[in-house]
Amino acid sequence: MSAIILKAIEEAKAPLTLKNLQKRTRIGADELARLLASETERGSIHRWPETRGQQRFWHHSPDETLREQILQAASECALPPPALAKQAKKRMPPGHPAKLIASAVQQLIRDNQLHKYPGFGKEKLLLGREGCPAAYAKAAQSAIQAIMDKLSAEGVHLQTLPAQDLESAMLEAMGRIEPSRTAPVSIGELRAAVPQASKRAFDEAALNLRVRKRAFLSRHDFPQSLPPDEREALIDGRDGTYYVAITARTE
Amino acid sequence: MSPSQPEPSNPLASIPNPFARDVVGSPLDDARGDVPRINVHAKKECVGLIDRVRLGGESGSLLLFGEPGSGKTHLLSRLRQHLDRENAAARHNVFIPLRMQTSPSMIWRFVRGNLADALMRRDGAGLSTLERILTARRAQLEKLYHRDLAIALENLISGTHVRDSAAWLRGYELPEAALVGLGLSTQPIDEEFQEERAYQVVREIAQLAEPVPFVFCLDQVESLQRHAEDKEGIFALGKLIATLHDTLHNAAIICCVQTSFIDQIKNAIRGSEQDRMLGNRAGLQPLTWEQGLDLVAARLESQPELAEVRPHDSHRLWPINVERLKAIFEPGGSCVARRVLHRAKEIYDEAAHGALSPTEPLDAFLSRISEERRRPRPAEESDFILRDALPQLFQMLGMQPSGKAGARLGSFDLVVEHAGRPVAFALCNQRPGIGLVNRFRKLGEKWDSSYAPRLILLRDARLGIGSTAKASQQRLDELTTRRAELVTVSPEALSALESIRGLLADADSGDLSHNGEAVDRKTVEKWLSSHLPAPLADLVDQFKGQGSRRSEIFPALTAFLNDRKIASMEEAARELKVGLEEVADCANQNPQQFAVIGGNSAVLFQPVRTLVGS
Repeated sequence: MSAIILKAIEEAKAPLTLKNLQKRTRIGADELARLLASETERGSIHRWPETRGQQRFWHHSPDETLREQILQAASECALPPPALAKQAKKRMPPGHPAKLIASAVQQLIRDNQLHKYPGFGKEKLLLGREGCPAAYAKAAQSAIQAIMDKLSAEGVHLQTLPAQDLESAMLEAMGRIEPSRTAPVSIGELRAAVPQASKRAFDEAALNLRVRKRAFLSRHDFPQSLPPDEREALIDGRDGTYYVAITARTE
Repeated sequence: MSPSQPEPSNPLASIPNPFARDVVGSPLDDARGDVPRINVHAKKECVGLIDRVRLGGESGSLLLFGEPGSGKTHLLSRLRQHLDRENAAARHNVFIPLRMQTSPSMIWRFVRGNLADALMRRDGAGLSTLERILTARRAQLEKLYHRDLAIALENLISGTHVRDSAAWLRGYELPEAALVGLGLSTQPIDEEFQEERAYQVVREIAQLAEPVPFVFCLDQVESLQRHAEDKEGIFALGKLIATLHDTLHNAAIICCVQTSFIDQIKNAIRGSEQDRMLGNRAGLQPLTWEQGLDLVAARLESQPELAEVRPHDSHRLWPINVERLKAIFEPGGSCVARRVLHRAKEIYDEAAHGALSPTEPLDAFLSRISEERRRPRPAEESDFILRDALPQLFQMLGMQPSGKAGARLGSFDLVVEHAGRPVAFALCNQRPGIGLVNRFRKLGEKWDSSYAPRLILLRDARLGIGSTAKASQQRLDELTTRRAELVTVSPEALSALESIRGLLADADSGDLSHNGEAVDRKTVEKWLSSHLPAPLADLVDQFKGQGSRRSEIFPALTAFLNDRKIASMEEAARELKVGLEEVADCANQNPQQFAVIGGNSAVLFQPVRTLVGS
């Protein structure tokens, strides 16, 4: 009986309510409650915060999952605490209480898992994952890009790095992200790792690396199918092609 | 002679274009004109992984990225040829190609079926992989937990009851008499436990063969994702890889993915499953200019007739105009193999015929491919095909899955919205017997007509329900009395669905190449929605409640003719205990299933159709 319950829980993509479990296992309510209590005690499953008064169970621990999601979000981009909590909530199974998320963020700060960075503009404080400076760099890049976009609208164009230096920085970053140098690096990941580059400079540098036989670019097969913001995140080949990844050319 | 000015007696005109094929259909096909130094690194990674699994006693995985047309399937074909040579040298392995054209809910059954095929594949010496590997382990068969598996493997090793044992190993449902004859359990397995059973079979076979590496090659994984927001397919893929990795000691899992899929995988799969999938990565690179030349030269050399007509002082790529080939390379000198081959094909055509062959319009191309792929499928595969293809067909036709489906799916396989109301579909392809009785009984218990007013029972037309299957018929009658509709799926409709799902999967994976460029899913869907094959259009009409409802005696008449093959109308009416007119009406309404000759004393039989490609 326990095996059936464990299987149902392990196969589930989100915590299961008692009702869900009863349906999936066809075990009577009393027996199910008894088995769940015993498995929870053994630690093979975990009880999740209730939603609409319904008990929920899953094989992932709620605390661990929450911490994982907060840290994941904070490793992608440093964010103000409320925005980080909001990002984490989006990534969690539905119905996770906001209070628990906010307190988990605070606990991660106390545990030195989240690093406090000075904010840009109106934001006083940003939280990024400890040991993940690329997350802060990404936030910086977004802030700089916003400024550059404003300036660009006024006809002022900034060049943050000389082109040759930017190309070297990109090759270095590619080596860090993909040490084997044989697998492609996602353009999104590489942009985040070279935050000082504007989109235009970054795209030009990538196309130059290809011309200089230092990198291969991988086309997106159907860029027309992408929403404009996703297409914008790729490298624009200026001839209708868009590139989704870059690989160091070693020969 | 200039390639662009052919002489009337141009000898090239009678030689087949060596570049005609720019897609490797399957890893089991021998790659033509292979150039080993292309993607040598990726092949080394694959071989290295398999060697580590063999020596280290621990499973491992490798994710191979590449653009459409960069040669992913070609590389797997090269790897398979390498492993065939290893097998011949007694360094055994099992190569299992998995073209992931399946529904996520049947993923283990899909792996089981493909593993069975891989085990029964014979090599040049006429030995099957199963014989090579398991004969030496025959004594261990009795230790298998799964008694039926032990019996089936024993039969296959000893060459007895091969057909039925192979079918069982593939996961096909066998008639009760065949199960009894083999000494296998006749107890049907409930739908919800079939995935578990398929996983157990895969696991036990792999464990029995340890330390022989089981090389699972997953290709076209993109086709598991049906639309941009669909995460179920990738989730199932991650689970599959993690389970193979964690529960076996001898699994080498190679997963080929389009480069543009890299972010989707990272976003959809998390934690340890992402580690298993993304842990080891390699990429297939576009060709450099020099590699492009080597590839073209190798293709030309693979056509022996060309050597006979080659002028003495010609360059090695004759009759290909190198400058024109160069034009398709990107700045920096790179291009994917498929585009190089397509360009070479065009240049060769011009050299041979003085002009480009007329370009096949996209409509004609899709029509031809769709026809070519219509092959008869056995009734045992109906569940696989219907479960995977129907949601895609409905999505294409704008019949969306019901919003309530997730919560209320229950025993149904699919619930879609039509005319503002949910329509529930249930696959009922069990053979007559306790499995089918249970299926009908459960549906009767679970069907809440206030939620889904229409319930459509789908059954392969070849299965029928014979007059002796009284319990099955009774349960079916109970459902039809409540106005459930039995819709039989003709073999023609099934092969059309198989063709459609193949086309869509190829489009998803960038493997549907028209004039050297990939055709996307939206284009294929748009074309299909206005070119639905007739048997499918008929099926869809029935789903929409627009087609003529099948006569209630249809299943019984099908079963009767399955047994008798040919009979007079009177005999059929007598056997089915119905009027002559009812039999005649049923036969006339279903000309794809029944043929009638004669007038008053008409003879009834099942028409045999030869499908394209059969």
